[in-house]
Amino acid sequence: MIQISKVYPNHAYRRVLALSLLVLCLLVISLVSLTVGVESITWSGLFNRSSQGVELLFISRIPRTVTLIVTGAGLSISGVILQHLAHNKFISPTTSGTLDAAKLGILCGLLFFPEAALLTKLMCAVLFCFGLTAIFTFSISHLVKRNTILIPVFGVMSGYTLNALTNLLGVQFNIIQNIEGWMVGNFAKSVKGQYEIIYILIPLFVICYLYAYKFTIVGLGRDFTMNIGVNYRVIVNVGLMLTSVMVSTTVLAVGSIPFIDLVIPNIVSMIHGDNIRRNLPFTACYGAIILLICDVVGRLIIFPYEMPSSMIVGSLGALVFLIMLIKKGR
Amino acid sequence: MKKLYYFLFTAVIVLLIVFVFFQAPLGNTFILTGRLQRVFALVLVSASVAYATLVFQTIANNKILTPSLMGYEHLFVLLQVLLLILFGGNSIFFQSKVLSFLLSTAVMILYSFVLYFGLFRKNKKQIYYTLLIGLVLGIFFNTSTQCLHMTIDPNEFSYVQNAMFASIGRISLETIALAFMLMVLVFAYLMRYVKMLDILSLGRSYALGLGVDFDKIVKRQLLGISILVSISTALIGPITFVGIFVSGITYRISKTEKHQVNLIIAFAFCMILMLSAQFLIEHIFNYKHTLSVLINLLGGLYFLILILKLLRK
Repeated sequence: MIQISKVYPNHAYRRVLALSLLVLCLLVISLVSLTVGVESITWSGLFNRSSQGVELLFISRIPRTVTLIVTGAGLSISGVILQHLAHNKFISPTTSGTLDAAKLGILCGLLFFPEAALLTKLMCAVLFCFGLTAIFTFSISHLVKRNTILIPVFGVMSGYTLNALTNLLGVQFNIIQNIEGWMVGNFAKSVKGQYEIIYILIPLFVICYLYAYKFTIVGLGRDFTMNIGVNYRVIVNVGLMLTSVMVSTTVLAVGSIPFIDLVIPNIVSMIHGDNIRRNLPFTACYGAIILLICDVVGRLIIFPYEMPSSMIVGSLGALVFLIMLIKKGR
Repeated sequence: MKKLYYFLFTAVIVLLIVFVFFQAPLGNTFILTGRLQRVFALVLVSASVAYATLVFQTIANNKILTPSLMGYEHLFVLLQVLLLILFGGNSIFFQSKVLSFLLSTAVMILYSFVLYFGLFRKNKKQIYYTLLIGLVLGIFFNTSTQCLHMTIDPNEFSYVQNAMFASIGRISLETIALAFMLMVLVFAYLMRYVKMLDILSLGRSYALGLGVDFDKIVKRQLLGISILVSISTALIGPITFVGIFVSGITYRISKTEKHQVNLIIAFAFCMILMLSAQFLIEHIFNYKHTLSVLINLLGGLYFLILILKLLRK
């Protein structure tokens, strides 16, 4: 399953070329994302220093684009890490109940510390994510090791349960009306003063990159990891913690965005193989680009209103995942 | 075993009486007919849930799965939204409950056909795989429905919002009668094999060795199960986790693997559960929560406990 040598070993320049192309793509789409919106921004207007355009750019468009890029990258990276930790291509925050655990955590944060700052809620969410993902995905995966299909089934089921719990608590204490509408991933609210929490992810990217080799090793199996002298348990916990923080932060900042964390790592692994460290920049770029495209489409599709990008990502991602599943079954 | 039967039987009867006559003046036919309708709906749903879950678990050889996970309720809502977009809120589909029931049941049964027969061609232990595909399809339907919601005119949406989600409060007599007839047909078809079910639980190779055509029976059972699940979803909405809870408790109290015994116990237990949940909703929670939320929560918690227990082993 793990193919490290699939990347052309001695053609580092090719990778650099591909990566720079991707980054170029990302830049172009970011520029598009900056200009698309109800209030049109013209470049000439910016150069003429018309204050309204500049203000709009700094209050809404730039925060939104930055959030999109960071969220897309962060979710894809957490997906790839979780996939390796669980030795299962079908595991990701979406299919292991992590997203729902984060929602439950945030709800509990609202419930117990209603006055508290954003950071407390983040702590709650991280705690729930870490604990529940650790129990319901990783412990289960030891039980049904040989059945790769059953683990995501259990993950999604536990996610459903957590959702029902969140719904009941929310309705009982008059916090939410309807779980479907709550926490739908929507980037319209990432404006200046609201979006800054997403910057937490950037130092985490660096940590992920530093640990990337170890995650690859853990992905090769427990015994192998122990044999070459890497502490399996510590690495798994570090990985889980990193993904928990990343997922919780994105849920808190923009809401839950399903399936991007599942589909992007699989696509990257099909194209570039399974060496996490080499692929991490690719994963991040693909994630950011896809999310940006979906958000731009969402802004245009029922213009001048907008459709939350999580819905577009969710439908498309589920479709891609289905195709992958059916292909595997054939 | 007989004691258990008697106990369950009396419990069901007592609950039925309490449910129908609690705080209701005897002459008030309006209240009584409403309650009787709900009781009938619950009976039908309990029968289908009990049968569908127990047999599905036997076929899947796994006691923590349930067939209602495969996206039926999301398909149901998606269908309603599509109808709204294509035909508008004034169309006959939203005026006649019978027609909408028939249509949604037909679509869900068609969906099960595609799901099972599209994937079961190779017959190689693909039930988990089918389950995962169903789950993902469910999520896909759900997000697509949300997308479509955004494009609907809010006025029109609020006009039909109530008709869109299946719920026990809006069942009509005709729908129940239709569901009843359908279910009688399905059960008549399935019950021919009820003795074979015990053999199915031994596994494919043993069943084949004993001269039972495993694949044929599994296919027919799955088909029947999917119809049952479709009907119950169209009647009262999503009841994803209740099956797991019911089957778990059934196996615990019956201490046997005989399907003929277990099916009856599961049916009775499911009745007790549904009736008491609905009773609580009507008289204690004052309709703040819905039946599906309450029951799913119970079933879901049971599911989590089951997994935790498995871990401790």
